[in-house]
Amino acid sequence: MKKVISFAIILLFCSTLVVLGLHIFGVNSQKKSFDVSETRQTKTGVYAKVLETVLGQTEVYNYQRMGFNKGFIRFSPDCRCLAVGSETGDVLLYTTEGQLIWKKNMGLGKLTALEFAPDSQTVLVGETSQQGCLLSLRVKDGSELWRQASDHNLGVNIKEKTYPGFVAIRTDAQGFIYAVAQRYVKQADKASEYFSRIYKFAPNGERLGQFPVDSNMDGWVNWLDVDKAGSKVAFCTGNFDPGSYQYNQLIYCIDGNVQQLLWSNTAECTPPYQTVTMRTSPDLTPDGKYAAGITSDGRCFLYAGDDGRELWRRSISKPQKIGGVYLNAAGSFAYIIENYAVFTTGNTFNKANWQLPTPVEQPNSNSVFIFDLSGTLVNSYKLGGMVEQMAVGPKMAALAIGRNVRAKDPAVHGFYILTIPEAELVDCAQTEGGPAVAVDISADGRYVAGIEAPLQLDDGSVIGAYKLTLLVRR
Amino acid sequence: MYNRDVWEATPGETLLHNTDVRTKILILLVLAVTILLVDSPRSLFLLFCLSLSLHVAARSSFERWQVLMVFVLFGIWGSMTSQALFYAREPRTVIACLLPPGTPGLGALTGGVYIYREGLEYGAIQALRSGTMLALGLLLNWTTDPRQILRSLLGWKLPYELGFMLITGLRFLPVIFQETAVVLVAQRLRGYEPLRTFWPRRLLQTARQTLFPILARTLRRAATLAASVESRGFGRGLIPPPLPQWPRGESWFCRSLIIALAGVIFLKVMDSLQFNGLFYLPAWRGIYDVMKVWL
Amino acid sequence: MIEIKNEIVAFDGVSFTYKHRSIPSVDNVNMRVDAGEFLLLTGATGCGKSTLLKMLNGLIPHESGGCLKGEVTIDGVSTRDLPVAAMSRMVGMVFQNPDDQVFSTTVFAEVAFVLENMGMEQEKIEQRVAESLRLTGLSDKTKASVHSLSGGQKQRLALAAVLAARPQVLALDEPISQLDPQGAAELMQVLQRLNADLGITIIIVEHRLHEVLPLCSKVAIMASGSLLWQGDREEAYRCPELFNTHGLRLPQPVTICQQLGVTPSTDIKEAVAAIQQCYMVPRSQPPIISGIPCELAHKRKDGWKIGMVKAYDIKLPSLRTRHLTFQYDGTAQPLLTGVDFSLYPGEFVALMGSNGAGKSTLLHLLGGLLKPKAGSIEIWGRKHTYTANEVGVVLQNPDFMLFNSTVQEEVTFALQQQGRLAQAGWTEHCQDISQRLGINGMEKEFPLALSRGQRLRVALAAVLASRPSVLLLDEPTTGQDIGHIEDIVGVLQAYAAQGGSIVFCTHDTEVAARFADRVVVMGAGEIVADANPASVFQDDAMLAACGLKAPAAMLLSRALYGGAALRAEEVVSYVQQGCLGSYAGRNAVAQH
Repeated sequence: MKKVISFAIILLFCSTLVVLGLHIFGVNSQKKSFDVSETRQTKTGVYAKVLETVLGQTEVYNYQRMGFNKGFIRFSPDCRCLAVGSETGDVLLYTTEGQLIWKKNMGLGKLTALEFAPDSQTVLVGETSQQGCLLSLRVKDGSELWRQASDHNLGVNIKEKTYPGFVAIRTDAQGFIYAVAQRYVKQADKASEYFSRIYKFAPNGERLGQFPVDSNMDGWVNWLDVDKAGSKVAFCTGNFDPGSYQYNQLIYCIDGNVQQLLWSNTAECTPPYQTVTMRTSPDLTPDGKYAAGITSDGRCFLYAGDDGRELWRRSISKPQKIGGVYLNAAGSFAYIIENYAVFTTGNTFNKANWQLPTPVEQPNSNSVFIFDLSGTLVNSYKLGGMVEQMAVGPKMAALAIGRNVRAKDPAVHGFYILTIPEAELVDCAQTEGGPAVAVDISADGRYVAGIEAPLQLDDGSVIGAYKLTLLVRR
Repeated sequence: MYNRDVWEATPGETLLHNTDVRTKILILLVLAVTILLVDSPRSLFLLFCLSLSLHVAARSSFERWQVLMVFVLFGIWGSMTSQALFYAREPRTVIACLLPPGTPGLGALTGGVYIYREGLEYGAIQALRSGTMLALGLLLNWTTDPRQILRSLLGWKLPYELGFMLITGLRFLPVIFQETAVVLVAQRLRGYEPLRTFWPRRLLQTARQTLFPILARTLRRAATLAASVESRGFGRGLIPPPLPQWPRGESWFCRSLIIALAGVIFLKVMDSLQFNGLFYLPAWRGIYDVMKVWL
Repeated sequence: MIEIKNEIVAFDGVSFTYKHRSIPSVDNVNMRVDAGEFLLLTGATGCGKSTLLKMLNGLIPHESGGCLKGEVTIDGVSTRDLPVAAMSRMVGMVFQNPDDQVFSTTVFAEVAFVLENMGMEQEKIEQRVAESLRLTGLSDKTKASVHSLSGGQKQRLALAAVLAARPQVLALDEPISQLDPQGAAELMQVLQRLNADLGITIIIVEHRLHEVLPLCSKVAIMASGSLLWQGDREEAYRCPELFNTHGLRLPQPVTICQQLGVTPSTDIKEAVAAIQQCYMVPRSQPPIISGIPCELAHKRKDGWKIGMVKAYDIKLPSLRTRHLTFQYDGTAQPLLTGVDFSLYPGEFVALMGSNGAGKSTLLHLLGGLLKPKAGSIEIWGRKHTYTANEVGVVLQNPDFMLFNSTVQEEVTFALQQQGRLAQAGWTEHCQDISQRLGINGMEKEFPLALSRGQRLRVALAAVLASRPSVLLLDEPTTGQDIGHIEDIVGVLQAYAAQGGSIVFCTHDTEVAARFADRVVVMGAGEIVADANPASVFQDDAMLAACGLKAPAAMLLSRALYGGAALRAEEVVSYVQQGCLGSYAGRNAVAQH
């Protein structure tokens, strides 16, 4: 009996230490590799899971406060690597076979953007911190090649913890880097203040230009896009508070040297909203001929890339007052895939309080709409949950589907792959219940990777985990 | 566990046995301060592993490892359980619901009983801290003559009263464990099953019944020990005997440790200033990054 | 001619009252001890002798907090004028339990402690430590762990630890009370050498007079805090009533000599010679083994020597062990090997042997404190279930058994646990036991605050209250004066008369010989002898091998007339009856 007890103590001690050690050190503690030929873990089986691995522990949110756990995921242009930026501050580089090449922690910085250089040799990382840096990491070993700070332009208040950060990064065919940095300040009187700039860097990190040259923009800029030649850079500005701003247009396009404004355009607000913005758009065609965007109030736009003319606009979701509250389906992503403009909508938005559920679900919420370039709706696809992120491949779109604040059905969470323009489901890999929060598809469409976040249900239990899933087409 | 030999210092020929007691005390103190300063689970885990590896180096017996393991396990799981249930800070993530708030009676009264992930992690971190101290404390106790500890502490101007209290603790802690077993058996022999149930009332009764005799015995022992050591020239008026030469290597090692600790304290202050938004040195960004992971 | 004596210790009108007490524990003591004397300070339990001893090195008054009147001087220096630390160079103090005073890990460190406190240089310390260890016979143990020492060695270490300071006076408080006869003899030999060779003054407080008296030169007897009597050893022999009235046990040869009216001596040869000078003692018949018949067997390493005499054939043993074996985990040697032992109702068995022989282990196994590795224990023919009403155990240290708030709760505790007492009450049986053990009137007292003797008796009452079939006592006579021992034995004999079975561990051969029906001797984890006391104590070889010594009465009777007497009275009776009319001395029988 004593021997049994001794053995039990040793076993418990060792296993406790191992579990603790793995929990503290090992993000791959719950790594699962799959045999592609034998498993069938997706809806249609067109894609198969290669890897599932926990990326670390993050705070778990419920339906009322969900959507803040993010993740960044990018396939290299040569389709050999996959870069992942996690909420825990790690940048991980995997092969598309699922092997971890390196892992690097960003320390103080909070990861806010991730992109590959077009030659697939460097990973560009945007972070928000006291200095708000853009870093270039070597793909081979994760070593830092250079970093550029933004605090000297955007300022920093370490006492109030209002830090600058790079929030979006794009590259052109030559490898020039275009990035947007911003800083948000909530004043004591609750008024919002923004400082934003667009930067252009050479592949070696040299700063080539900035827009505006002498001052910051007074609105937020979350997103930008650049054409393949690097001649146009489009972005959108926004503000929480209605008021008088210098950068009060909806969409801007500047030259490739990020010095001069080429054009801008605006759109009146849709009542009852007093402000409007494009949160995660616009998107420029590679040739720079078109720019597409979707606004927060649910309107889609197509602009001429050369002069910014509004070619057409379509209203997907007009705010309506139902049950005493205004609601609409908020627009989220806009991409132009070949000759089609693809727009997505999110959950039905309650204007009175975005955290409260709406009495009804807006019919066009949580959907994908595909228009041809003349503005004709070609197809649409209704998804069960919010499109948390969208990525485009060859005639394909990969969608990370997350929470549905009204239906609260975890079964809809997963990574969806649709054909464009047919809007047919190629495959769907369901998560373990947590909402999908990030997704990317490789340039050849062979690989899809996504990040799932854990979710706390109303009964207090937690489903899902903060983890990466890698799929490969059979 | 109830065997007093397991608890008492035994002579040996390992590096740790032969290390000067001042070096050992200093390592203990430096690590104690370090684990209080450090919040990084990684560092705490490594420090804990270091303390365990020192036991390997000291060739602690299997019985001693058992004692250490049991205490560490109690510490880890006790701390994790209590923190998992009662963790009150935000954010906290419910990973399991033990008692839904809708449960009639208790559910409404308690507002539900949950296991919080952050509580588990916080508990584990605290347990790593206490486990490291426990492991090092036991190591010092097992590999060092109490007399040497006393000499060193008195040499460092520790008040006589504290020195004697320390010696009494070191001397009688092992005996208390042994005698606890005897008292528990004595209770059983008189028809009382001390550990039959774990109801609080019963546990209190057992604790009282066990504590009384042990306390009485320990007090008598302490009185004898006090009389004995005083009769051997150890008393209030004692001029601490000169300490033997501190081996040069160990002395330098300790100085390096103190400098390292001062460095850690300085870094921690800098990190704290940064964290609280009081002072940030942009040139130190790389160091801040390292500190975030390891401090 | 005036004899010039070098006085080293002087008590002048010394009284001491402990804090929070109204009655002085030491009351107006005047005493002188000369340099080089070996003084035995004795008296009944609680008479104040230990308190007096603590005055020698200033523990009283410096660390006591009580009120000291009068003057204690050591070599002309008042203990009031020097701190205890300084006094330690003049007076070395050794206490009762070696485990409570030794606190280093190695023998060297323990001895060096006092020298370090004196601020001595390391080189000198090493010399002094070596010297002290040589004097105490521990030279080969310099680097040994203190845990590896036997009880006797530990006590010698405690002695070496104070001896290193080269004190002029050694004060020892019951230093042999916890030791087996062998350990006690070793320590006493060392003390004798220190006294004779180095001229160190020795003041020893002890109850075991038969072991100390032969070595001492002076005796002081205390009673109720006062110094009742002091004088030379030989003078003490002439005052037997002084010892008897204060619960002190004179060595058996002295008692015999006194009762026979010859010059008393603790030495057997001298006593025999003295008796033979006055009496024509006829040789007796071959020894008659008296007492209750029982299994008579001597087991030695070379096998069974004495045949088996079956007894109690028709009776079921109340306790029986079969091939009982015990071994601590991780140890190479078993502590107990194949012990077969039976205990019958009404038996009063003394379990003897040197420390480490396995007797405590056996007792603990029988009591359920340990679990056997192999073999079985049966109570009334059934497997031992370790419930309270089957076996009662009184531990050597009664403190561990006292965990209630009052004596009454303590005595009734087991009954309440067994549900035999509806509420906390005081049955007639409890009353009877308390009265017999002399703890009546203390029902509301806090048990742990009582004196050691009282605590032992409360523990015994608490166990006897539940009327166990078998009663096991571990060293119940340790530190008790003969008066208390007789009280306890009286209760135990009454219990045995009612069918109870008793096993008690003891080192005291006189107590075993006097009170036990049967003596079981253990050696190296085996039972080496199991017979009535007369048989067991005649086997000198076995006794020597087991570190025991036959009672002095038996040795004396054997030398005197080839007898096997166990008690002094038996020898006196034999001599007086066998030599009726042959003595013409002062106390001649014929004259009575």
